[in-house]
Amino acid sequence: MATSRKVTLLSSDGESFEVEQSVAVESITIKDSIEEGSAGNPIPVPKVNSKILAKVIEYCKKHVESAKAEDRVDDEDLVAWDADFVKVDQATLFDLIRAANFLNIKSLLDLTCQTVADMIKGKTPEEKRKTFTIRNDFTPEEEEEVRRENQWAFE
Amino acid sequence: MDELPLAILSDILSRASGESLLQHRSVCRRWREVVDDPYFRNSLHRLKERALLYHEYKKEEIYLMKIHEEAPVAAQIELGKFPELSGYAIQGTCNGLLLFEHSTDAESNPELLINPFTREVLELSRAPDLSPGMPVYGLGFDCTTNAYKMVQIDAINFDKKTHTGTMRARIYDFNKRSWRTCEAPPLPHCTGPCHDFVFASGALNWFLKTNSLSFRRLARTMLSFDLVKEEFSFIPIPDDFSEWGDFNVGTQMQELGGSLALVHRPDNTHIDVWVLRDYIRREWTRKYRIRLPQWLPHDSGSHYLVGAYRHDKLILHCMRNVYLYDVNKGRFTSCWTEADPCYALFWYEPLSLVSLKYGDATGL
Repeated sequence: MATSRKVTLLSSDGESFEVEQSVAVESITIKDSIEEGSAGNPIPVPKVNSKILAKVIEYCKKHVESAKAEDRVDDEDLVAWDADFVKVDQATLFDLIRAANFLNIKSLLDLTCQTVADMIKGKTPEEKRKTFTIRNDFTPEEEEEVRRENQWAFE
Repeated sequence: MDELPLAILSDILSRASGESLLQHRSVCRRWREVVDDPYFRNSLHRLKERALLYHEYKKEEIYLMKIHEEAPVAAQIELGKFPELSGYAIQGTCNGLLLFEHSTDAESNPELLINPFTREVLELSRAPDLSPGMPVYGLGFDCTTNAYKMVQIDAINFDKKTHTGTMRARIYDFNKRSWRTCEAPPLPHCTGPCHDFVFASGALNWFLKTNSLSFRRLARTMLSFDLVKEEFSFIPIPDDFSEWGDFNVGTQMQELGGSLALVHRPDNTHIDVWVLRDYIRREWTRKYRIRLPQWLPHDSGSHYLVGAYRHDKLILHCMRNVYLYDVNKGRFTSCWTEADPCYALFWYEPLSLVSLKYGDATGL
């Protein structure tokens, strides 16, 4: 039996994570740098701190495992696991989005973006602002104009 | 949220449906910027969500009809007023965009393309040396190149007495804003395409009229233009189509779920809906047979299939009324009763956010 290759990932705050290479290459960014031979050892992962990197690795591990499993993990189970995985506070969710984007992990980016999209669904503009602490930077005239432009979409 | 790159914010917002997307515009300037970005809008023109539109010929308004399956009456919401439409008649639709041609004086009036959701009206450019007489148009979408294409068929050297001429076809490229010639439709002698087109099954489709002396009859084949291959061909109508009463009346072409469909009256109590299941092999299948209840008028000209609504329901228009026909239960439910008996027009179209403004990033 061949020994599985392991790589070490280094978070932005200096913590090391040893993972199977098959898990690490869920990230196209990491995969490319390994293939190009430009990845150091350990592989530095700037912009992603240890807390988030740990979560990302957890996600990748789960998805690689379920793809390999002898008795395939039920799609439904994986969907349920994913749903639980994203039950985090907003700050963490956005950090995960940024990490998935930087590391180029499409399925994680998809999952996290869809989670945010679901949070927006059915909310009024004011509720959307509240949810994400967005400042309303329209002047009253602008706001009136924007609303009028798409009046029918609000009815 | 504020720190998210624009591309990601775009991704998140794009997961909303058409109307919600428009609502996103009023959250803050950044969100409005994302939704208004032409590239963002253009990538959405394949939205699956459809809206029922209502327009009365000769009037300025286009309305959105919101069907409430629970409530008995649909809500009529004005999308906008289009005074430019005065004197114009609809030729056909494509992905929510409406193409109009002037009904009496096409020579002095440009064709109009309207996006009722963004309230934009675009005057279309004319092909050079247009023949006198009314050209026939078609507007379609080539999904392989993500481009809208408009086809114009006219007849050069047209002889009014013999109703013959040489057919010519040209395609308008919205990116280059220019016309180019393509192969002419190989029409049989004394046959011409009807004005109304239906974009379905990836092709532009027209009924053909045979000119016989004083009147015109519908031919038993339809003219079709494959938008990707840019080729004309013919589609025979199903053999089963009898000529009860008058094949010309009550036979309708429609787009259902992207495919070409024909509505036919086999007798005075039924409406058959045939769908072109396989465009290449020209295979038709009779998808629905609707039995008309006693209380609905039975004459051929009254019924119009507007579209396929969700959950196995069809939208039917009959004089003043719009019905939802439940295919499984065979039941008609009235959802609106105030359509104009003579001039009502209904379109069941994808909600389009394609921008019609010419510029660096035109939606077309």
